Amino acid sequence: MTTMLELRRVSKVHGAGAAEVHALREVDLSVHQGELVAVMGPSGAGKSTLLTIAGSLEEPTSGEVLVAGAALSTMSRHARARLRRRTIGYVFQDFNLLAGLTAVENVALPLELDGLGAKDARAAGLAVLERLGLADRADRHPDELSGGERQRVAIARALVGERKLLLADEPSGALDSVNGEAVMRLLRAACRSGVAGVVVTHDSRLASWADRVVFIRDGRMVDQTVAPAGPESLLEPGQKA
Amino acid sequence: MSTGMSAGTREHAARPATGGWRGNGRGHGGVAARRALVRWAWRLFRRDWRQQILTLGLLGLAVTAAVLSASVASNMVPLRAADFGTATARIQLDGPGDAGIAAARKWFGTIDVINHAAAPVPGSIQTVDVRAQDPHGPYGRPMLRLRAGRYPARPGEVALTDHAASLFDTGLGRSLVLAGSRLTVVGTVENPSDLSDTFALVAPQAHARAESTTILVRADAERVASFRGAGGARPTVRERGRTENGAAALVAFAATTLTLLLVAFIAAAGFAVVAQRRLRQLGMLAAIGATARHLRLVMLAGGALIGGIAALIGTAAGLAGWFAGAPWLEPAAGHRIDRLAVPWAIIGADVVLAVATATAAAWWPARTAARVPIVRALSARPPRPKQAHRPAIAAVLLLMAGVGCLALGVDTAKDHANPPLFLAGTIAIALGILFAGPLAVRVFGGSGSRLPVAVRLAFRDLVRYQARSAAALAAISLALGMAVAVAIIATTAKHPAAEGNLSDRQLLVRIGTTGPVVPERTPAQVAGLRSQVDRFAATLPHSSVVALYAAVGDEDRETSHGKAVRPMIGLGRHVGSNSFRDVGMVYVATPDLLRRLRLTPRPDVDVLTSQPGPLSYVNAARDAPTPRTEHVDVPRYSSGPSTLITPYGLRRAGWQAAPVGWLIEADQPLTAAQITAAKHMSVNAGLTLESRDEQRSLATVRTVATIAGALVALGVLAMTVGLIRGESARDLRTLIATGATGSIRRTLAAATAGGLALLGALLGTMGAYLALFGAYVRHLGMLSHVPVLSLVATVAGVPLLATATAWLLPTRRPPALTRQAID
Repeated sequence: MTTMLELRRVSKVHGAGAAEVHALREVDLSVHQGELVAVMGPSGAGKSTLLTIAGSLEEPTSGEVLVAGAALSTMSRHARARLRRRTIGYVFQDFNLLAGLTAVENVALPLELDGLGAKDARAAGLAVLERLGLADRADRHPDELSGGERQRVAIARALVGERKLLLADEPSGALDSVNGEAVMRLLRAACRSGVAGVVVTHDSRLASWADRVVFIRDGRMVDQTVAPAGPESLLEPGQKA
Repeated sequence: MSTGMSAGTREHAARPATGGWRGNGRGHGGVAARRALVRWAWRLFRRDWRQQILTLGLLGLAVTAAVLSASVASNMVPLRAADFGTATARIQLDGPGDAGIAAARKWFGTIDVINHAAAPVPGSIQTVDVRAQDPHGPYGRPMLRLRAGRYPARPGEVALTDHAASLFDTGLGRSLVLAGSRLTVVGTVENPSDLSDTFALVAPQAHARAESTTILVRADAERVASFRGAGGARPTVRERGRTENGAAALVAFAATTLTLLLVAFIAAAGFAVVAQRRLRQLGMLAAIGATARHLRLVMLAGGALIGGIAALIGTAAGLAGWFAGAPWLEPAAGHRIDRLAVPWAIIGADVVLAVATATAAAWWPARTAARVPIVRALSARPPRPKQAHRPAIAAVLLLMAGVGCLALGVDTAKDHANPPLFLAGTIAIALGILFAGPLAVRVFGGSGSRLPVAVRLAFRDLVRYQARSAAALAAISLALGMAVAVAIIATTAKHPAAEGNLSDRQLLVRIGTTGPVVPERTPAQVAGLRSQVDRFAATLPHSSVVALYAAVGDEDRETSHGKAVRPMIGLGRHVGSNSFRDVGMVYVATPDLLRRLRLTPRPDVDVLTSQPGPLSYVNAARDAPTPRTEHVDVPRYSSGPSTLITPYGLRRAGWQAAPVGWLIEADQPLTAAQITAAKHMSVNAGLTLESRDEQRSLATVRTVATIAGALVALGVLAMTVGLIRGESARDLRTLIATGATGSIRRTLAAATAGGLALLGALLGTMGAYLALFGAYVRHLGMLSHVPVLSLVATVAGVPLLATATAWLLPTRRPPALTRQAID
């Protein structure tokens, strides 16, 4: 099975001297194609830092991060930006949709930034939105959508262009439980189609959708378990990847 | 190495093996990506344009002013067509000039002949030029325009200009006696290129007793120069010369460029604020794979959009103003104005310049925003304040360079400036103020340790959010600095009591107009005018009258508006290799004048003058000797007798003295009523009156500059204070939770606004004085004239107004206190 994300002895230190904070301490993590990994831990444990480093939004103080076999440290900033356009999909807790663009334009934006024509990008964006049941909301602006719809648009943006790594930071944090479960279902479905996923969450019920749960405390990975069969297994026995 | 939003230069990483769309090979997404980003920038502008109204307004105003000033400048220049029509040269002949006309026709082929004769105005010493001219002549057509009736076609008919009709108290359809002949007025005419041209138009060849003849020709200079009149004599020839309206429009364009450059600094502050507002959205864009170039493009496209819209609105407003106001300018311009005769190329250049300026102004904020680490940008936290010592060093170097450039580039003695050095100096000082901002903010922020907590907190927040406060400070400093500089310049331009054109006790009554020419008058006419001047002077208590004479060349004669005039000899100081600045009126040192000024010239002195430095004769038709000058201590009034040519000087140069007017001097300052009475006397006698110029417009300039600077500064504050306070919403919540009263928000906003305004006023005033120190380095005494009111209004009034406004109109409750808005 191909390893899509690999963190090798990754550490991250914020500040210096007396204000020094170790956000991550020598974390090792591998996520394979089609696997969904949940990262849990208390506030300030370093979960989000781990995700931003994995998503090339931030650089580790030490250690190595490999995405689809390519080491981020050897890449230029430009190449990392290209990686975020083509390979990594990032879902934020607060959606981070661009308010000036419609839902489909938000989804198509990474493709357009990558040089795909507006018409083709829109078609690709519409296809993903349709998969997520949002085709009828394609031309709405973010402020005309509900919280759940916004997060589904954000997931569509993270999936468009056949991404290989999906990173979600508390994707259900701003949603109610029903919408939260729907989001997890979408992420699970994306992973079933071959995408490697990492989800940061506080909620153990949502973590149960993952294939594996990683626990972080004070920047250290303290435990990792195979999650018990989640709600999805009750609905679709034997279908979980 | 930090993960910023900026792109590095390394491109060695292998392309990730991902499926689907493989992207644009160049890595920046090509046209498709640019189109998407420009579209987004346009949408952002549509959403946020109100936040950029100040930048938009300032740029639009600058473009409006540019279009208007270029149009006005190019149309206010006297038109060559007034004297030449479409001809390239005019040949002046005495009398009817029949032989000369025949010679000219033979030499040039097509010619246009205009005969002149002076007809006296009944009851006046004035004459009117009776002009026999073909209205459809090949070259003279632009010199005539029929306003009513028809052109005279046969003897016994005449068409008059409005002024000529009023002089003869006649009108269309009535008759008048002109030089002994009764003529019927069949039309009202004008010279559209010179509305002051007063004449009576008769049919071509209608009067056989022409006193002079003008022949208009079109030929190259060489052919014109080689023309010889009847008997082989060289007639008086005037070449058309180059039109100066293009040069005037170019000067206006240069002024526009400088204004737009200064506006660009203010716009840059506005864009810095916009970049901060959009930081989170730029972070989002970077998070989904936008490169630093993409991020910069969003900001630059926003700048170009604002520049383009400002250029469009400004041009439309400028042209509308021009079309509406052009008719009002015609009397001042002295000629009819074609509304469409505006310098389109320069207006086009203004539009391009406005777009380029706005785009350039957005560049630095775009670069800074693109360098903010993504995670920091996503949290909408501004970049950490940078160390202030580097900008401070840059500021000192720039300010020194600016002062040096201005000191080298501006010579106030010669009233001359080197444009590149002047521009470089101004920009260097503006940049110096920009770079001085961070240090000034830090020093100011640390100075409030003993102040109440709200004020202390406000000052410290200026340091915490230095990127925003320093940008706002630069804009405020520049706006107020420009206003202070204008106020100081206007103050230094104010003449002291012992300088100016005349003293407040003097009146100069001139024969003819204020040009450097003397109209020819017979001794009897001069005696008649003198008696009228004496009668008026007798109404002033303890007044005296001195006759003034100018030096004229024996054979120098010209025709101006059909009247014979003689050019006055002047004196000038070299201000360039081949250009002079005249020292004011030059009179002949008559015994009467010398007695009055208590002067006794040495017998071998040509010129007595109160002006410093070597002088040369100007306006002489032939080579004049270098004058031997003697410095005398007399009041240095530019129109009064402060420079005199002695009888010895006249003899040595072969010149004559011609009566030019009278100087009336009272023992008390003249009242407005006395000056008005003098004006009436002058108008009735056909004389020109000059009294002391009180320079009231300078006070208006100071007031307008101070108000404009204050308004721009307050606009910048309105744009930025809310943003800075919004950043510290959490602090506010903590303060309220710990028992602070409800007025704390007002105090914070008021202290922020007042602090920034005070700092901006101090920095701006310092910058203005530094710039003027450089410009006036050879005459630092001029800076001793301090515009006290303007300075008090700027340094105290603006901060107080900003404080009061921010207190009374507190910024809106920050959204972070309630809920997070969707970006």
